[in-house]
Amino acid sequence: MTGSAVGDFEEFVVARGAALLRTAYLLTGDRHLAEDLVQSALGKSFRHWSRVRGGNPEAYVRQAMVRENVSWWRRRRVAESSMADVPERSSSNETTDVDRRITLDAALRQLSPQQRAVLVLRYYDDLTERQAADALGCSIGTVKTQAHRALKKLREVSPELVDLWDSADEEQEVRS
Amino acid sequence: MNSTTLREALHETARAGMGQVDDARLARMADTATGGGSPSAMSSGRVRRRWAVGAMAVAAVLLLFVVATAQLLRPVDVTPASGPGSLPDQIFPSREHILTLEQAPIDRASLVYAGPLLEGATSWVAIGADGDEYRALTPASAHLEFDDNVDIAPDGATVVVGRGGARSGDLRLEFVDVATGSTRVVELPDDGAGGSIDSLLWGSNEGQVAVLANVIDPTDRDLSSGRARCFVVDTESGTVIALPRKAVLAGELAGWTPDGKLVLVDGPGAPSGRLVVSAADQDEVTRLATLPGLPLGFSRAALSPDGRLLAGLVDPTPSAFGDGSVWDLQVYDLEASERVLSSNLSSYAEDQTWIIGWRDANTPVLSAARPGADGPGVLVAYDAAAGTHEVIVRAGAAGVPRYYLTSRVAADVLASGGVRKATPPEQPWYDPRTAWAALRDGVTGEVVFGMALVLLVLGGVLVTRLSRRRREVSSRSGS
Repeated sequence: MTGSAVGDFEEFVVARGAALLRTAYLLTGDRHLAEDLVQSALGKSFRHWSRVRGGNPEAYVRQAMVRENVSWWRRRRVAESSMADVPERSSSNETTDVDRRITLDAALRQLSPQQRAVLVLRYYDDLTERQAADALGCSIGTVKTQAHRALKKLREVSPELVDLWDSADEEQEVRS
Repeated sequence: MNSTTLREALHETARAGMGQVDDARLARMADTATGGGSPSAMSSGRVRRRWAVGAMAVAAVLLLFVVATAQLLRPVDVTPASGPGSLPDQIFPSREHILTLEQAPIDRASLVYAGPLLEGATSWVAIGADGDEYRALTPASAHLEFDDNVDIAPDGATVVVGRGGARSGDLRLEFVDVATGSTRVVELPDDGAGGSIDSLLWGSNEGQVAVLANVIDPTDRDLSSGRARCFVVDTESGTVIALPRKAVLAGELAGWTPDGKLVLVDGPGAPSGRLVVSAADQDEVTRLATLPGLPLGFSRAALSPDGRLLAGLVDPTPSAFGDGSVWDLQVYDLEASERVLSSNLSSYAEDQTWIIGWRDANTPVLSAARPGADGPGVLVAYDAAAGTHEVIVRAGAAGVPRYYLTSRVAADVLASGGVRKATPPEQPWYDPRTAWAALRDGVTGEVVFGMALVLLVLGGVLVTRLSRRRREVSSRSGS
């Protein structure tokens, strides 16, 4: 690997690392696991950086993260986070928003890694169904099914967030 | 809250969950990803690569071990025990698959083997002169057991096969013309219930074959008992001559005297502890010699062409432990009634299959079909005048255990010329023992050994390069 490629890679990580970490957090539900996930995906991406850098490196790293996360889950390496990992509140007067975040966080943890990945790719990273399917290495039909099941489950476990689920449904209808 | 979408909520959750991410933290992650991080942060790809290198090294070591073991188990050539070498070492080299004679044409079989032909049938095979030719002496449909009695004519042109059975007429000899494959049958007299043939011995010329048979007693309900009979068959006319019953008391066919009498010896473990050698013809049985005691038995007796010496094998292990697989060559002078040679080889042949023939009047020839690593078949040259003997080279078919050398060596064929390599008629490549032998003895062994070495070197180079690269990245990260 040339020095310029290494510098290019480091530049990419500094520029897009935070976004990747946030995606990873949504995928894993845990800050430390998120860092490990991003770290692992970056390691893989760096080995193919000469090829990756010419295309869409962020998509490549994101795809590696998603697949790695599913792989971790399959290997039972992912332990569910304890309540100690609940995100800190930003301020005392934002109780409503904080409660919603905590509820959403907890609701997301009820999903399987695939369902969570579909939700994150579709509604956080704003990918199309085809892009999400490519990232997950599955069919578009699977993405649709997983998204549907994920939202259905979220409605069941967190009915108080009905506005979020409704907005997702509306968005789904608009897109389709 | 009602105006918040799922997308916005997810962004809020992610932001709050990860908190502030500073550039230094990201720079460390980038550094780790490029190889400067701690081993604990090592990517799974790198771990897999290390595993691959390790597995390659282990495979190479295992391969080396297997090949080295095979090489170590390779039979070692016998060192001459005494006296100068009088025969070329090329005779009966240790790695021969099948022994053949250069000067013997295809219609004069040199040696006879039992081996699996196509589709697993067993047949007797004559090996031709140039080593690449062979001929199945029996039809593929005629299944033969390895311990069937077969003997080859002195001129190598005809093979006689002894057949038995439990019905009248089953006891018979089949004379197979090696050149044409035609078979002539000579029935032997029985008592109406067949029998089995214990031993066959072709005469010193092609004119007669001696047969030691066990004729079933039809009055015995389970047909388990029988009566020993000895016949001499005229190969031209098919006339069968029964020898006097007294001759049958001796248990093994040893050869023929120059004047045409059949020589027999008593079987292993003679209660008298003596070896009784008799000569018989149609009219009488004459005792030739009574040899010193042999409490451990004497087998594979073979009379020298001049009728003066008798060679055979003894099992030197105590009788309680002996299983017949360890042998020692001994030679007796019949006229002096004394032992003139004990080779003290105490060698091993696991399938208990040997041949004793005579290369000339002073040279007994031993062949073991499947010699053990420490006990190959050998050619023993005995110098009667000097009273010394010499172990020349090994013989037999080391490494090809599926082929059994079960026929006696015809004296004039053996003496007719040198020996050269031959291709087995049907190499049982599927047999793991053959594969092992090929690994051990053939060019394959060297190739595999070389490949293992190359793999080991490549693995070492790869590990070195990886280590150097890691050191470079570490030093760069430190600076």
